[in-house]
Amino acid sequence: MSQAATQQADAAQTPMSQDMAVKCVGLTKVFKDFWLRNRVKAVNDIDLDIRKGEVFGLLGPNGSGKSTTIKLILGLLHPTDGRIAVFGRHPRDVKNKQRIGYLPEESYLYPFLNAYETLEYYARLFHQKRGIRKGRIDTLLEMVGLQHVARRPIGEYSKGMQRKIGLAQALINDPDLLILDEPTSGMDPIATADVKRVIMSLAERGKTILLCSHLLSDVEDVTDRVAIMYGGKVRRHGQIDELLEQHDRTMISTPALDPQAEERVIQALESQGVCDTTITRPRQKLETLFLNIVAEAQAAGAATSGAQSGGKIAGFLATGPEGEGEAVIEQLITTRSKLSDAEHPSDVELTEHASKSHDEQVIGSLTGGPATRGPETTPPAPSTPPQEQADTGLIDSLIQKKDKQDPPKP
Amino acid sequence: MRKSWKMWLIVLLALVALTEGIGLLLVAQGSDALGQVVRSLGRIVSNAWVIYGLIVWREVPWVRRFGVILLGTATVQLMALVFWAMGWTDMVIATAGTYAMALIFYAGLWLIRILLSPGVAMFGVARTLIDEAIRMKIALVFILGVAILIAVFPFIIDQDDFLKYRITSFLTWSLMATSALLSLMTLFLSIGTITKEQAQRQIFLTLTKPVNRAEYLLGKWLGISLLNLLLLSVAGSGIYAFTMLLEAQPAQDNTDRLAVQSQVLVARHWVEPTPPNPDELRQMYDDLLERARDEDPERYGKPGDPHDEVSPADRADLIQKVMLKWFSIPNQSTKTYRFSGLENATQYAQPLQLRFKPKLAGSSIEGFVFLGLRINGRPYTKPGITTAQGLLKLAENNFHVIDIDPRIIDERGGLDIEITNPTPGGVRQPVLNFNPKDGVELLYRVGGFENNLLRTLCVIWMRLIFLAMLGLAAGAYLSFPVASLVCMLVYFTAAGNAYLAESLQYYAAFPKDTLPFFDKILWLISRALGYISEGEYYDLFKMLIKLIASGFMLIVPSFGELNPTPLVSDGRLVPVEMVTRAVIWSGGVWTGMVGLIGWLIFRGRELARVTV
Repeated sequence: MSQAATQQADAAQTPMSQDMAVKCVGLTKVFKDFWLRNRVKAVNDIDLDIRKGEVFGLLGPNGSGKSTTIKLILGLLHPTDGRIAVFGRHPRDVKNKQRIGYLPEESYLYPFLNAYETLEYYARLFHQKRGIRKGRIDTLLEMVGLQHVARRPIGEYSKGMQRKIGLAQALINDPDLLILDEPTSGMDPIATADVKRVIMSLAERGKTILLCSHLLSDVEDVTDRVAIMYGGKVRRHGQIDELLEQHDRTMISTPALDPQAEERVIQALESQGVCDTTITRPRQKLETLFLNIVAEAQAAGAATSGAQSGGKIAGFLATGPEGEGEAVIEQLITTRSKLSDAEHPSDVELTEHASKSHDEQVIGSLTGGPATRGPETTPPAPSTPPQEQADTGLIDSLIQKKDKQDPPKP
Repeated sequence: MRKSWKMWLIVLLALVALTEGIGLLLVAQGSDALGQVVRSLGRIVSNAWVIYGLIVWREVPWVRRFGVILLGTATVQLMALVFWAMGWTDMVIATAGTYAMALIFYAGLWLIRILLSPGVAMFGVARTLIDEAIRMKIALVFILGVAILIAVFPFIIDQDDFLKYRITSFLTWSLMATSALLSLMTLFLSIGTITKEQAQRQIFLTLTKPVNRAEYLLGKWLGISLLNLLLLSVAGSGIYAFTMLLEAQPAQDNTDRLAVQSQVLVARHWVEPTPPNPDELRQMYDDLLERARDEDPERYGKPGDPHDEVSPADRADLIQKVMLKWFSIPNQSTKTYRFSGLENATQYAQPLQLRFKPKLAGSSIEGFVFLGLRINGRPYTKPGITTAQGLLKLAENNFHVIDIDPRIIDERGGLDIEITNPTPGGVRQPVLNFNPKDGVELLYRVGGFENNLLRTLCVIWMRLIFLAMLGLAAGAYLSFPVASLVCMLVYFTAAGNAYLAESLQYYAAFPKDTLPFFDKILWLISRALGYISEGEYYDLFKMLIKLIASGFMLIVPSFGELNPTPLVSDGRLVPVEMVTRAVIWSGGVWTGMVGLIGWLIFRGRELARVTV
C-alpha cells in the first residue's frame, strides 16, 4: 500500500464528528537533512480540533511551527507521525481542496499576471465556467478595493495590495474552510480593518476559518478559540474569552464624570471594601483615530493611487447555515464598520469581569437592587448604544446612594 | 467604461459609413471633386477619432491589442520607408518578413488563449505558462532570435552562388537554427518554470487548489507544446515565405532555375540500386568472409563455420567492404545497377533523375571522369556532356543529375543502369567509385515542397514535445542548474548519437556484441583486473568511460534517426514512416516514459520542505 493510501486509511480511522473541519492527532513533523538525520522537530505531537463554523486562531512566535502545521493540513508537507483529517478526508485528497481557501504567509503570486488574470487563473483551477468566473472576479476585486488597478501586473503592486489579491484568490471558490496565514502582514490599518471585517462576515456565514498570526490584536478581535504554540507544541488552547478573562478585576465604563462625582464613586466603592480603585480617562486606540482620519479624507474625495477601501462582502460567498438573508449580513457589516464608534470613550459600556459572587455582592449593595449582568461580550459583534442614548441612571443611582449613605459634612 | 467604448466604436463606424457613402454618392452623380473632398475629410476625422479612442480606452483589452497592432504596423511602415529611401531593398523585405511573422505570432497567441479559456485546471496552468514565457522575456529572446535569423539568412548567403544551392543552404540553416533555438528555449522554459515555482512557492497556491500533480505537470507540458506549435508555425511561415522570395530572385541560368523547381522545391522519392542478380552481393559477402577467416580465425571464426557466427560489428564491417567493392568499376568493366519499384514514378509525368557522384581511385584526366551509360539497354547521350565516342564527360567528385524519360521504365517497374569504365582516347582510367551511401540514386517526384516542409515541422515539434517533458521531469526534482546540465547532456547525446556511437567504437576495448550478458560482465571484470595488474590505469579509465557512455546512450533516444532537415533541403520526401515514428517514439513512448518518471518523483514530493 502506498504512503498516500496508508495515510488516507489513517485519516478515515481518525475519529471525527460531523461538526469537525480539521482534526489532528499526535501530529509530528521532523525535518531531516541530506543524510536523513533529524534536523528540526517543527511540530511535536500536537492534537488540534477545529470545528465547523468557528474562527480558530493559531498563535505563536516565529518558528513555533504554525506555518508547518498549516502546510501539513494543506498536504504540502507529510507528517512524520500522527494523523490529520480535513472534512474527514486525507489532506492531499484533491476533492477536499474544492472546499478550501488558502492565503499563505507571503503573496506567492505570479508577478507577470495582472490582478484580473491572477484571479482568473485560480478560478480556472476550480473548473469555474466563464460566466461564474467573471462575476466572482469582478465582485472580489471590488471587495478588496483593487478594481481600478485590476489590469496592472501584480509585480508592480505594494505588499499590501498583493495580500489583498491573495485574500481574493483564497475566496474565489467560496470555501468552507479558509486558512489564513498572517493575513494582515504588510497591510495598512485600513486594509487590516477590511480583512478583519471580511473574516467576521465570513464567520457569520458559517465558514470555518483557521487564522494563523503573531499579531495578537488581530487574532483577539476575530477568533472564537485559539491555540498558542511554542517550540512545535501547543502550550494553551481554549475559548478566547476564557483565556483572556481577568477573574480578579472589574471594570466600569461611564460617560465622562466630573471630579466630584469621581470622588464620590471612589468613596462609595471604598465603603464596600473596594480599595484598589483607579479612575482614568480612557484613550481611543491609535487604529481608531487613524481610520477616522482616513474616512474623513475619503468622504472629502481625496485621491489615492493605491488600493481603495474594500467594498461590501462578495455576494457569492455562501450564506450562513441558518439561512440568514442579505439584510442580516448587511446589518452585520454596518455594525462592524461601527467598531471604532464602539471603542470611543463617549460610549457607555458596562463590562463585568469579576466573579459572580463578588459581582452580586458589590453591585447589589451599590444599587440596592438585584445585580444585573452586562451584555455578553462574546465577539464578534458587541452592540453598544451611542453616547446620546447612554443609560446614565445607573451612575445617578450610584451617586444618589452614596449621598444617602454619607450625608454632606457641615 | 464598457458602454463608452461601444459608443466610440458605433460613432466611428457611422462616421466612416456616412462619409464614404456620401462621397460615393457624389462621385456617382458626377461631382468627383466634391466626393473626394468629403471622403478625405471623413478619413481625417475618422483617423483622429480612432487615435482618440485608442488613447482614452487603452485599458480595454481588445482596444489595447488593436492599438499595439496599429502602432507596430505604423512603425514598420516607417522603417521600411527609411530603408527604401536609402536603397536597402533587402532590409525592406527582411523588416516586412519579420513583422509578418510577429503578426502571425500575435494572432496565434490570441487563438491559443481562446482555446485554453474553458474552466479546466490543466488549461489554466497551460495558459499561465504561455503568459510566463512571453512576459518574462526568456522565451521572447529565443522567439526574436528565430524570427531575425530567418529574415536575415537569405541575405547573408553568397549571392553569386547557384540559386539551387542558395535555397538549399537557406533551408538547411534556417531549419537547423529553428530546431536548435526552440530546443534550448523549451529546455530552459520547462526547467525554469517548475524550479522557479518551487523556489518562489507559487506552486503552494496552485497545488492547494483541486489540481492533482499529474494535471499540473500535464498543464505545463501542454502550454510549452502549444507555444512550440505556435513558434514552429511562425518559423515555418517565415521559412516558406523567404524561400519563395529567394526563388523569385534571378538564377544563374536556365539549368539553375530548372534545378530549383525539380530538385529543391519538391518532394522526391529516392531508390537505391540493387544488383540484377539478388545473390550477387550474398556471394561477394561469403567470399570475403572466408578470406577473412583464413587470415584471422580468432576474430571471424574458423573457415566453414556458419556465416551468422560473426559479431554485428564485424558483419557491418564486411558488408561495408562488399558494398564498396560493388560500387567500384575497374577499367574496361561494366556494372549494372537495378532500380525497382518505380510503378508510381510516372504519376507526375516528370523526368526521373539519376543522381550520381563519380570518383576515381587515382588521377583523373584534367579533373574529368569519362563513363559509358546505358539505360534499359539504350545508350544515354546529352549534348554538351557526351563526347564523340558516346561517353559522358563529367567533373570528378561532383554530383550530377541527368533526366530520364519515365516512359523508359520496363513493365516490371524497373530500370537497369549500366555504367562502363572506359579507356577514353587510349588512356587507362583508374577504378571508378561511387559512394555506397548516396553515390548512385534514382529520384522521382512524389509531392510538393509545402507538404514536405509541414512534415519536417511536425517531426521537429515531436522532438520539442519530448524535450518539454524531459525538462519538466528533471525540474520536478532537481534545481535549475543541475536539471539544465542533465537535460543538456541528454539533448546533445540524442542529437549526436550516431557520431558518439562511432567514436566510442574505437575508444576502448569492449566485449563482443555476440557474447551473452553475463559473459560480457565477466569479460569486463577480467579485463579491468588485467589493466590494474599491468598498471594500465588510463586504459581502465577509458574502458569505464565507454561503459558509462554506452549505457547512457542506450537509454537516450537518437534524434539523428529522425532528422528531416537534410531531406527537405535536398528536395527529398520526408517519409510518412519518419513522421509516424516521430509521433510514436518522440511524442509518445519517450515523452510518456519520461513523464511517468517525472510524475512518480513529483507526486510524493514535499513541496514545502525547507520551511521550518
